This record gives sequence, structure tokens and C-alpha cells, in this order.
Amino acid sequence: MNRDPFDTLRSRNPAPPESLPEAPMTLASRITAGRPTLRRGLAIATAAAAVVLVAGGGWLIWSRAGGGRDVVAPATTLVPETTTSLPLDQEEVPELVVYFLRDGALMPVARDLRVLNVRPLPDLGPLAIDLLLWGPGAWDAGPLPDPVAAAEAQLTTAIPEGTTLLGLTIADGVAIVDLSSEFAAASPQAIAQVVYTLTGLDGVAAAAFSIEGMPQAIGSLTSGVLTPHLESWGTPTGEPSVGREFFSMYPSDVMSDVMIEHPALGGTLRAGEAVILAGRLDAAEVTLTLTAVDGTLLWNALATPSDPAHLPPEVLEAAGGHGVWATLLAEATASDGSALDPSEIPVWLEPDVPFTDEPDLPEATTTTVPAPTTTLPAGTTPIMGHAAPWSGPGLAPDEVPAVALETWAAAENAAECALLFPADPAALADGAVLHDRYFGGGWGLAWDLPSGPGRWEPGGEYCADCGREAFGVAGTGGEPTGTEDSIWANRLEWTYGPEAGPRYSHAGYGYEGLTSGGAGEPVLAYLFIDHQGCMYNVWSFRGEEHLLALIEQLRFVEGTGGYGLGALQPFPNDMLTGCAGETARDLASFEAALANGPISLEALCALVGVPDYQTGSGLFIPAYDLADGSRLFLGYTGPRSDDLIYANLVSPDGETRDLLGK
Amino acid sequence: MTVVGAVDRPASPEARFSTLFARHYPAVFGYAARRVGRDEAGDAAAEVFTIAWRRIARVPAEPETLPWLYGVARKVVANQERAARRRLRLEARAAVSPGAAVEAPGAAALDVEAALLRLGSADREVLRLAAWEELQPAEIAAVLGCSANAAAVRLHRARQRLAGEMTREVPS
Repeated sequence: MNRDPFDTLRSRNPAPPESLPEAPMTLASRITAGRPTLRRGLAIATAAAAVVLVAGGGWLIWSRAGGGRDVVAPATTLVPETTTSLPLDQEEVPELVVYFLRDGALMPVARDLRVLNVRPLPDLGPLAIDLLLWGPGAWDAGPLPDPVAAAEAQLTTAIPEGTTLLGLTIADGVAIVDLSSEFAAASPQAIAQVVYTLTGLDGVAAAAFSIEGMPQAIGSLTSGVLTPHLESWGTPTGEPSVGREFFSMYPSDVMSDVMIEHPALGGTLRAGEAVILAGRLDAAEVTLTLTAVDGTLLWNALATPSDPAHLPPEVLEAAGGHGVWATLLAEATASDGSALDPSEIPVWLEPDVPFTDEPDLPEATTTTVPAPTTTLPAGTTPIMGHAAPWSGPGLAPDEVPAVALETWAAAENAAECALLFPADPAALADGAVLHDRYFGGGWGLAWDLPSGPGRWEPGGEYCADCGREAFGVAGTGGEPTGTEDSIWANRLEWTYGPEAGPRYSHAGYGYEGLTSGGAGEPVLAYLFIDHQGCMYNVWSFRGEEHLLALIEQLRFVEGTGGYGLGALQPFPNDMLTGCAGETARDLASFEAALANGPISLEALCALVGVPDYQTGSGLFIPAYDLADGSRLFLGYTGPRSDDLIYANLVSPDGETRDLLGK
Repeated sequence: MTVVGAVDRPASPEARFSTLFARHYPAVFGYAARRVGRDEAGDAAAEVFTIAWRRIARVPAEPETLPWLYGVARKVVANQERAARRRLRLEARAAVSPGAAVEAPGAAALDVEAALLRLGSADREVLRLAAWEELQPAEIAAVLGCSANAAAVRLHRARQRLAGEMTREVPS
């Protein structure tokens, strides 16, 4: 194959420009009218074959959120005939919604799976049904806040007592649920509870029932009863499977006048998300009122079921910028102007969804963080990235101002604390002036910005126009294996470099906290990089976005002790002699070779053969490709050295493990 | 028609939004379609422009508008992908992989797509931006929020790694 794969890729554009639709200008008008058509659509799985979901045993245990006693829930499942597990995304912490009743009408209720103390989490379908069958009282999820506990206490269920789940099959968007004989006498409410709960799952549009394996039809006009009920498939006159719309056909009181479908009771409403309404009267106009726990009015909006209102992000900022409990009230007016029964639920407000699975997160241009003068959100989730910015090629010494090199060279810790420097300081702030910044025992570099925020002297008072030390980077004393960064709520973590394993780095950041905190203070990061004998300080008076952009720009300066790793090079054929004829591709061979600890590359080569690549500019790093797609990097202090520092096995999904067991 | 005196008046936010919507909707739709498929692309594009409207004052002027929109789309799509992942796995369990029979690409194309999937997501994105959105390094930099220099380096390295993955795949 001679063609550049990049050109092949270019020719494989899945949506070439000529295939793209024109701009639908009606959408533009709707957006500017403040009524965007975002919907929480039901994703229908188009699986061609059936996927059988059956709950296995052993997962029906959860612990209280507050760390109290374990609760063992009743095991409701039989030994499954076929167990096909549909593993849950581990990064995803979902909220399941089950439908209970309040005043006899359906009420979506959130079940936060973060309290499930089981890994891996079980299949969501059977779990949702079990949570439903156990009833509202079975959710003993620890100390719920008062508004939620009070709301939960009002919930009831119509599911016949003793009903158990026998099996659940999802195929072509239809969930077929097999329940025990108790459910044969199910009321319309009970059927609606199951149908709504199942169709709330991704990929499920309709539900069908069987009782003890016997298929059931739902509702039957011939029977003369205009309410949903189950009857055996022997008289197939009713519907085999039904979706939510089915219940609007019946004048039953399954639905309340207005139902807040999203967020669910006790569930999460994020900034920018729509409040989804349903109910018996589609034409009704609904006033939404969001109130803080202390009674402060947070938000007021007018909506209809077909035209939802979106929670403006400013509301959250006003409420403190991070998650808070609040009460959402929906007051409906019928088309004739009469007031209908209101609905009120406790909800958890949360800022924009964090983009936690973006590996190169530090962003300068489009980040959603608030302006520097507001309180930083307490991000408890570490932002995971794979390649640390400084794992790439370093900066050449002549790319770096002389003052930086001189400052570093004069520092006591120069030998163990390589110089980090931004690749493009001008992009961070035009016209910034670099100078050395005193950092006792270490080195420090700071950029001044005329008349910008800063302080007159190190450790001095801040002022809005001092123009000193707008941002900077420093290598301080401190243990290289320190964990001081964990004092910050906002965490950054990088697992490995693009080519090799040793670049584990982590950082934490927040307002410096020397004064009252918040506005006017620099955002400060403590940064640790493997194999560096110091803790780095990186700071900016220009806010979080700016700090993250600065961190993203940091590179080691070559010749100052950083191990900037180069690209993988083919391993030279003639470098080693006495190697095994064929290179081993299985992990066991390498584990055996390293069983007694570090060995020289020559000795290793005799056992497992010639490496595939080499890389590294501080260490000498040969690498082997294994048959399972993982890659093994061996960090030697030099080509002829027997000093093996690490043997990092990097799996295809980026997990790194040191075979030396360090 | 020229209205005297209107030249220097800043356009209303609505007019400005309308213009950028008309000009860039197809490209943003295309960006999303290439990553989450055409079915989901409409929703993603609508969300991107909703965000753009909310932050209309912060949307940069041309020619930086589209890279900015791509930057927003990148995050919107990341969220959608996360939500869709579970569903995709469901589909993957089906006997027939959906859409596989629509077109039979050459072995090279299959290889390059497989190789692309084996790359890190940062590499993958920089390659797609260059190959499919046909962006220059400076524009890629605006999408990813790095310097143009860094974008060029990233693209160069991603291309190398793509080629590396291809040779890793095919034993010679």
C-alpha cells in the first residue's frame, strides 16, 4: 500500500460537503425567539437481532449514600437461560427514572445510581424494573435531603405486591417483560408504571408483557372495558405492545393534569436543559417556578408541553455556580383559563455537563467556565487526559528567552526540576513581559502585563492594575511524589505520554486563597510530573480559562532535565547481538523475563528478541508490540545500561501497568 | 439596496445570528454527521447554534466564526457520543453490523478507518478536522484551543501515528 493513509482518510469523508443540507432558517428563528427545539429524544435501537437482558444474581446490594449499613434487597430473578450482559459505561453515572404514583397519577422518580455500591453496575433494564417492583419505600438510599424525603413519602405504587421479574428481552425497540402471576391482575396504573419506566430507557419505545412466560395483550376493545388491562394471548384482540401514547387513548386518571417528566422527582436538571412537560391537557399553558431551599425565587418561565423552557445557566450561577437543591413548581392553566392541579417536585440543579472524557481538555477558546470574578465550580471529577502537554517534544533552548534559562540554571533545584516553559507565550497574552520571579530554593518565571491585575511584590497584596505577575510558572521545592494538589477541588490528571509510559502527571487548581478568596486572586495550580524532583506552581490572574491554556502550553526545555519523548523510531537492527531469533509477542514471555526484576536490554533481547521501536531523549526507551495490541515500553538510563527504571505496558485503551511492579 | 448611515451601525444580535446560521449550519451539521451520524446531527447542530445564540456576544467575527462553532460542536458531540455509546454497544451485539453493507469500501479504506479508531481521541480529532473539515492548522488551533504551531505539530504527529497504525495492522 503506497498511498498515504491520510489521503485515504480524506477520501472517506462520511458526510462530504455536497451532501449537506441547507440551513433550516425556521430553526434559526426559533432559537433567537428563545425557544430552541432541543428535545430529549428517545433513541430507538435498531438492533437486527434480539438482545436478551436478564438480571443475574448477586448485584442486588447497595449501600447507603452516607456510608451506613448495607441493604440486601430481595433477589427477584430466576437463573437466566441466556445471560447477555449489556455493560454500563463506567464513566457514565446514570440516573434511572422509575414511575411511581402520587395522588394516583404517574410520577417520574429519579434513582441516582451513584449510591449503588456495586461494580460493575448491572444491566439497567432489569435494575429499573426491580426498583419499580420493590416500590418507593425500598429505596433506602441514605440521608436524603428533607424536601426529597418528604416528596418520596407521598409516593405509592399500584404494582401488585409480590410481583417479581422473571425476564426482560429488548429487541427492535420493544421491551418484553416477563412478570410473575401476581401481575395478571394489574390495574391501568400498574401497567402504565411499567410501560413508562421501560420506555424511559435508551432504545426502548414500547413495552409488551408476558405472565409466567405466557404472552399478554394489553387492553381489549372487544371486552368492552376501556381501560388498559392484561389478557392472555389466547384472545389476541388487544395491543401486543404499547408505548406511552397508548395511555392517552384512555380516559383514565393515569396522568395528572401536568406532569414534569424531566427532571424527575429528586432528579438532576442541568444548565441549558429543558424542563419536559407532559400531562392530560396539551394545550395548557404552564408557569414554571424554581425556588431555592431558602425560598428565594431562582427562575420563572412560561412553557407548554410542546414548547419547553430551558434552564438558563445564569440561574445556576446566581444560585452559587454549582449543584444545589431546589423546588420546581409547575402550575397549569387550562385553555379556558381555569387553574389545574399544580405539580411540585424537588430537583437537583447542576451546571453544564462536564466534558470529562475529553482527553485534551484544557481549552482556551470555548470553555464553559464562568468569568474569573465568580466562584470556581467545585469540580470533584478529575479531568482525565492521556497525553500530558509536556510529554511531547521539548522546546529547543534557543526558542526560550535567555532569562528563563538563566533563572532555572541559578536555582538550587535545577538538577531535579526541569524547566517548563510555554510554547507560545504571545498567544497567552500579547505584550507580556517576562522576568524572573523569586521562589526561594526554586526557580520562578512571571509575565507582567501593563495595567492588568497582579501584585507589586511576591506574596504582596493584589490590585487590579499593578501589572505584575499576571501569570507564571515556577519549580519549587517539595517532594516529587507529593499530593499537595489534592487540596484543590479542581483536578487534572494525565496518564501517559503519546508514545510512552512514564509521563504520569497530576495537578489541582483553585483560587490561591491568601485573601478572602475568589475575585482578584490568581488561580493557582500545583503540578506534579513523574521523574521530576519538585512541585511546579502555575498561576494566572486572568482566570481559570487562562490558567488551563497556560498549562496546555507548557513544554520541557531540552537540556534542562525533562524527558521530552520523541516519536517512535524503528529499532536499529544491528545494535544488539545474541538476540532471540524471533521477537516474542505474548505478555507471559516478558513477565517471565522480568520476573527477577530489572535486566539489561542485551539479556532481555536474548530472551524475547529485538525490540520493534526505540524512543526517548532522556531515557533510552525500546518498545515491543504485543499481539493483543498493547505496547511495552522499557525505560533504560542508556542504550548499554542495565538500569531499567520501568517496564510500562500500555494497553490499547491507554491503561498503563509497570511490569516491574513498582 | 444601500441605506445611508447604516454602514457603521452594528448589526442586531438577531441579524448577526441569522447570518452566521445561514452560512455555517451546513458545515456544523456535517461536522456532527461525521461523528455521530446523520440521524443525530440535526439535534447536535441545533444545540450548537443554541449555545452560539446564548453567547452571541462572545462568538468571534469571521473568519474565526466557523472554527469557534466547531469547538462548541466538539463538546456537544462528546456529550452525545457518551450517551449513545450504550446504544451502539447494543447494536454491535446484533448479528449484522448496521450500515456495513451499504457500501463496500476498499481494503485500504477499511484499514484506515480501523487505524483511526485505534488512535487516541486527540489524534483522531485532529486528523478528522484536517481530512474531513479540511481545516488549516490555524483553524484547527482555534477549534482545539491551542496555538497554530501546536496544531501543526499535533497534526504532523497524528499523521505519523496513523501511518504507524496502518503498518502495524498489515504484517509485511
